[in-house]
Amino acid sequence: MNDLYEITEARMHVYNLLRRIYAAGPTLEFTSNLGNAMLEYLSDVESIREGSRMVSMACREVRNEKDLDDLHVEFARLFLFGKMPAPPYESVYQGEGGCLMGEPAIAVRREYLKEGLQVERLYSEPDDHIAIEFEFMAFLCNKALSALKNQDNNEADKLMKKQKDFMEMHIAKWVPSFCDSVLNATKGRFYGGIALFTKSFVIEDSGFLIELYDMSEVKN
Amino acid sequence: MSKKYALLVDLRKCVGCTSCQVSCKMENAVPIGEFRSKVDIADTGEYPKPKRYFLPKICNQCDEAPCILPCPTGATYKREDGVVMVNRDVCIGCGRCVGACPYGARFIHPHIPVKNDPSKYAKDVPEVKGKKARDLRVVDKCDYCSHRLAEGIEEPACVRNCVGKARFFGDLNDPNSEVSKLKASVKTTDWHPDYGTKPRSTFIAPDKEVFSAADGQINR
Amino acid sequence: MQVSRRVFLRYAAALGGVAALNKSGLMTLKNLSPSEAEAMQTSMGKYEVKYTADAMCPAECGMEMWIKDGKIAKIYGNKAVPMNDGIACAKGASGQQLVYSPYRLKYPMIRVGERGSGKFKRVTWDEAIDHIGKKLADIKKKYGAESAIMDCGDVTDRDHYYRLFFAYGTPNCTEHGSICDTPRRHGPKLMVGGKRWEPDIMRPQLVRQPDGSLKKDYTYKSKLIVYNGWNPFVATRIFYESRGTVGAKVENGCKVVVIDPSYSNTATAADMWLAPRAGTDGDLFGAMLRYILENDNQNDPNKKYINWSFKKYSTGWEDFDAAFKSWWGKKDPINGLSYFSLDWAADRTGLSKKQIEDLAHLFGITKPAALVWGMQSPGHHYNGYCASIIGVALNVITGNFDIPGGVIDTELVKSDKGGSATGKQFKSKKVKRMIDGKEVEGEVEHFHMDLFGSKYPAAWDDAVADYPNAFMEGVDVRYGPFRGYHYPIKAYILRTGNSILTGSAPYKWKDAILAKDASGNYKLELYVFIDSLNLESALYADVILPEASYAERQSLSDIYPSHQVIYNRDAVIKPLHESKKPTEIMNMLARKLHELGDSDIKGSDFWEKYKTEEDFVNEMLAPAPGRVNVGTPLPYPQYPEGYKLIGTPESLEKGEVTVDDRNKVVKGKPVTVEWLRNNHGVAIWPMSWYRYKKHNADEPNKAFPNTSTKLIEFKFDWADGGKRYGGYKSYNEKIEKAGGEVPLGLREIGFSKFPSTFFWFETKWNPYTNPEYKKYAKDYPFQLICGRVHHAMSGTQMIPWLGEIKTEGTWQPMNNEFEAEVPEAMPMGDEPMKAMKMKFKANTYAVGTIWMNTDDAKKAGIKNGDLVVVENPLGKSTKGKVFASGGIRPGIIKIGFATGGRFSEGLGPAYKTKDYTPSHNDLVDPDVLSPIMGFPGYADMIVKVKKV
Repeated sequence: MNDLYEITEARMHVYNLLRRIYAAGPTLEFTSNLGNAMLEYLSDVESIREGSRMVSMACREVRNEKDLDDLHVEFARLFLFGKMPAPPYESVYQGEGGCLMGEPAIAVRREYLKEGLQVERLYSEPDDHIAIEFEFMAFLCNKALSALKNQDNNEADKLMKKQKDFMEMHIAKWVPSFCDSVLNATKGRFYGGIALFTKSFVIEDSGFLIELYDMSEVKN
Repeated sequence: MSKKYALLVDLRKCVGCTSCQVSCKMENAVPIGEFRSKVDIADTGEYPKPKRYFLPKICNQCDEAPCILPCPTGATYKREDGVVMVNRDVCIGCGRCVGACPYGARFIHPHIPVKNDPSKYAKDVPEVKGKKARDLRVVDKCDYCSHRLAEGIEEPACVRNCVGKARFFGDLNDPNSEVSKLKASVKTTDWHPDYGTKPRSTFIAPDKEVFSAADGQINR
Repeated sequence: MQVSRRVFLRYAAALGGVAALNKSGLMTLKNLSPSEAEAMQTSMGKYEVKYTADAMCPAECGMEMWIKDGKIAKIYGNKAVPMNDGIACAKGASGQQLVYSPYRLKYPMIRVGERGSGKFKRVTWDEAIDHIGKKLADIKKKYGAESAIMDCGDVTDRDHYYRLFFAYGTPNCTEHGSICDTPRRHGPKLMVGGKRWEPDIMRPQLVRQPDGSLKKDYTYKSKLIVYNGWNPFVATRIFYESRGTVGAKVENGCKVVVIDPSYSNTATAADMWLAPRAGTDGDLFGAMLRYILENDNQNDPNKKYINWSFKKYSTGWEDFDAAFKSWWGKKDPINGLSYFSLDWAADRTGLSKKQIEDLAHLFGITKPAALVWGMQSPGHHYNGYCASIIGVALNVITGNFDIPGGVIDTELVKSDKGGSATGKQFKSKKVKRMIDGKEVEGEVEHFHMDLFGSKYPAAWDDAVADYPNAFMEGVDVRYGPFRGYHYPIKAYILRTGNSILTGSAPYKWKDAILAKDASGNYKLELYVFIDSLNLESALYADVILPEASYAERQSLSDIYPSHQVIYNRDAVIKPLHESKKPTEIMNMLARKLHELGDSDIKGSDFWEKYKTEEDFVNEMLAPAPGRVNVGTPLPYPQYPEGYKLIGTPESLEKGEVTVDDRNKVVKGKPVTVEWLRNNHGVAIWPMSWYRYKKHNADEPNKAFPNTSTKLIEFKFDWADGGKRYGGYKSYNEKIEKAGGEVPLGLREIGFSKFPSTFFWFETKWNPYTNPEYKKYAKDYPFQLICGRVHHAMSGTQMIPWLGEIKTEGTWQPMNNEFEAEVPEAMPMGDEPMKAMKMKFKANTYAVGTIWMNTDDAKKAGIKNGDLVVVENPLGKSTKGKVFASGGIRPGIIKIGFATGGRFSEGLGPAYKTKDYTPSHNDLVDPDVLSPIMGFPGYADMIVKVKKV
């Protein structure tokens, strides 16, 4: 029980973090905190460690506004504007014809709706932006934590299954590919490290959720 | 009496704009590189007497369609109203119908997986032996926008948007329909009547050379 | 619940606090109440139909869009709009791929580093507007508001920006028309106060019947259409000309003649295809006019070309006729032949005498007929004005102007729109400047860089191609009250335009934008780019603002009808990402300028007045239709002839009007957005013909056309009874008031003032008509022409479906194999992940190509598909693959407009092909600006070709 709680709390924090990273460029305060946090981040997965090492080192090198600007320019170059080697939307990778607001955006919109959630700027902001999908995972984690706290195991079970489904149907399908695009396109350690971290984390978390579900199935 | 749908293209009015091709893409989410509707454009002749031909093509919904017999599952069939359909739930993506169509009207859809279990047919259909449903893709083709017909809109998208007002669609069993009236009053020619498939779609083509100059298959 | 001890996630406490789940402007999820959630569940998956218009090209066809889940799901034509009668072209049908393109501009961006480095970072709207506002305020203080240029590019929705910048205090606001076709429109503007002459083939037309009812008339009446340098099937703006041409042919036995050095798609419908040399349209028209004047015989039914009744409705014919004929007595130095004779025209055009004679006879004898001429030719030629003027004369004297099946001036008959919303009134604000030690007062208008500058004081559409010169050298005011004043250009706001690529030669624009002064600062201090698309011009900007796409903003469409029709381009979906509507951008910037202390900009003129975009559009609708009740049949027999009509078709029809006899206005209920929405998005008023004469008498009605005398004017500057008249009068007055100082443009062609009637001069870079260029003919044996590829315009080339189409010889599937970030649909289902990139095999995707005659190619050892380099006498060159066919005149090479050499990364596949696709603009001579309006000579160039 404790294990699940601890692990889910950790996972929630990671999803929150990733959401923040992909939503916008960083601030000086953020890079400072992130650098410290990543330095202390431990994992038995080599690529996750590698990723966090890279990020931590990159954060250390951000000393002033100019360094920060470079990160913002890289963020824009990768995700927002121009050649955009890694558009951060599921529709681009999974939808028809590579356009935004494709079937995946509608599909995740339905998923959010089942939990009583909706993108704040509905119809304006594509629902399948990576930051929003991560936010949703963090939300599900948070809800699971409440259930665990209240000793409502059925509810917690349902929520873990929901996370597994969302991971399988959406995140796991495109995020690793997206991360590969980032890795191919960036020379910098910040977003390179983030991409490596993200990819590895998603793959590991996907495995974790599948195993969790298999085990609970076995149990039932 | 059931409907007898047919398409008529008046080549005197076709301006070669290719809206029929693109409107179909829009209506039916047809993937890049594959075509349910295609305009063949051919340049012939020498200066100062060059010629350019436009031949817009879709599936001819043949009355003696050669694509039906080779289908091992019965997924492809001709409706009473004339439309030759593909049932995506039954199709196993063996591709035999694709080769059987002399007009090249069919294609394997790169993105829609087969649902039906191919192992049932593996004995007689070596093309799908050893393959799982999710590795196979269904066949796709023009179906006179059957989803619009189902809503009572007797107007495929290509007809709706035709820039030259050269396309006519309707019920040959209704003597007052535009297609019936046109067929009764103006000479029409089929594309490759020598294939013997009795195509439903027909053309008003004062210059017969269009059929030899712009003779490419729709796909391939 | 058991969990295996996977230790892949151990976290430090610090991690928890790093990213608080805060909202601070980031995209995020919000909670819904249970009833809200339920409501949304039920509405998901349902279609909603909305009527709007397309703005992917200036045709602005009426569209019917089906919206599902807040997204455009289907696109069809709006059946109620006569411009397109329910149809949609390939480009219109592919609108989703533009609106939902991942390459769209999504957020405000600010440049980091040097201009052109491509380094931008995202900022908030507040930051971006603050930056722009401060710069503009600073520029106004230091240099005067006139130092700012607002270039609205695209013809749609410019009014908000015009209003803002007129109020700010600059008259230098322009739009796309300036680099479209001004010489083409010159004749109509000068002689009838109009713009574009099109054949009467817009169907349906709403026609008043003898019994008083209104009927949708689909019958074609044309018997001959001559398209000179005009390719409606491909260039497709006057959209009804596609179905109208074939419709008239099949249903009314109309004959079609296409005059074009290349065998265009329109030529496939022609009964006769003539392929003259480039730049000789005026020559041909002049020969036709001479032939008709010399051979007309009123007593021979086979030679009765002229309908002399035109003289009743015009003035100055004798002057025009005399001036024209005076050239017959002169010999052209290039060939020693009499001007406008058949021999002369055959020599210059490269057509045979018989072809010219047959054409002239055919046009003279066939009635009704329409002679129309194009943007590329004569519009893009240095001397295009001459052809335009002769073309007007030809249509008028043969009795084809504004008759059923004849030719219609679409500007004169279209609905009025804009009214006070466009802010023209701000241009009359009084301002003072110090000139040579004296304080001088004038109006904002008097700073206009062209109308009062030193070069093109008659530039009805601003000389955008001259802007790079203005960025470098500033503006010398030589006419008007501020004569002697000089000001620099310090701000360039470019909206939905791509002037760096299309405004003449890209290298000239780049140099001007990158130019620095002695202190190392950019001469052009502020450059803002506003658009939905990431075009080359964005690369060099300081600030980028994402504008809502055409489906996300509201305005009005009405460009080229044969009678008054106005329709609503409704916003059918919410602005995507952080893009904003023009109304919002206008208000935000206005507010900022006001806050920074600009007293010229008031809330009562902007954000307090226009709370929504609908408020703005309703004000623009107030003058509609604004045209006079004239013609046969009289549009509204119940109202006096010649009275101006304002109001909805419904109220006018029912008589719910007030009639103001003093001002001669009939006022019904004003057209509003709401009314349009209740009427399929469109308001249509009745058609009529012979609008220049009374409906019940063969006399001019003195209400139409829109000239100084309300007659068709064959003379352009004259005095009568103490008053002065004519289209050029005000420009000559400017020259006279400036002590006879001749503007640069006129000096170039040896004129000392604007001509009083027919005039002629030669074009540039043409060795066959202008002796100055004969010496280049041998080394540069090809004339370079250019033409729109509708599917591949500067702003729409990134659409994948349009890459699957080929067009004539300038857009062909000749790509090298490449990988594209236009990923294809991935399977839905339990799948292993697939890579994002897609390979396009060679020769499957259309790219810009160079069109050449087969024999020419053979002689030069060039095969179809070979990569060649095309070079002009200025030493500029471009590369591309050759499409060789028999469909182009020998000695001519054709390249599409902006189809190649695209250097913006935000264009997807188009960018990938830039090294082997040709850029026509690189070969344009940036110093060839036509003398009267300063329009770039896009079509005046000669080149040589070599295999790479």
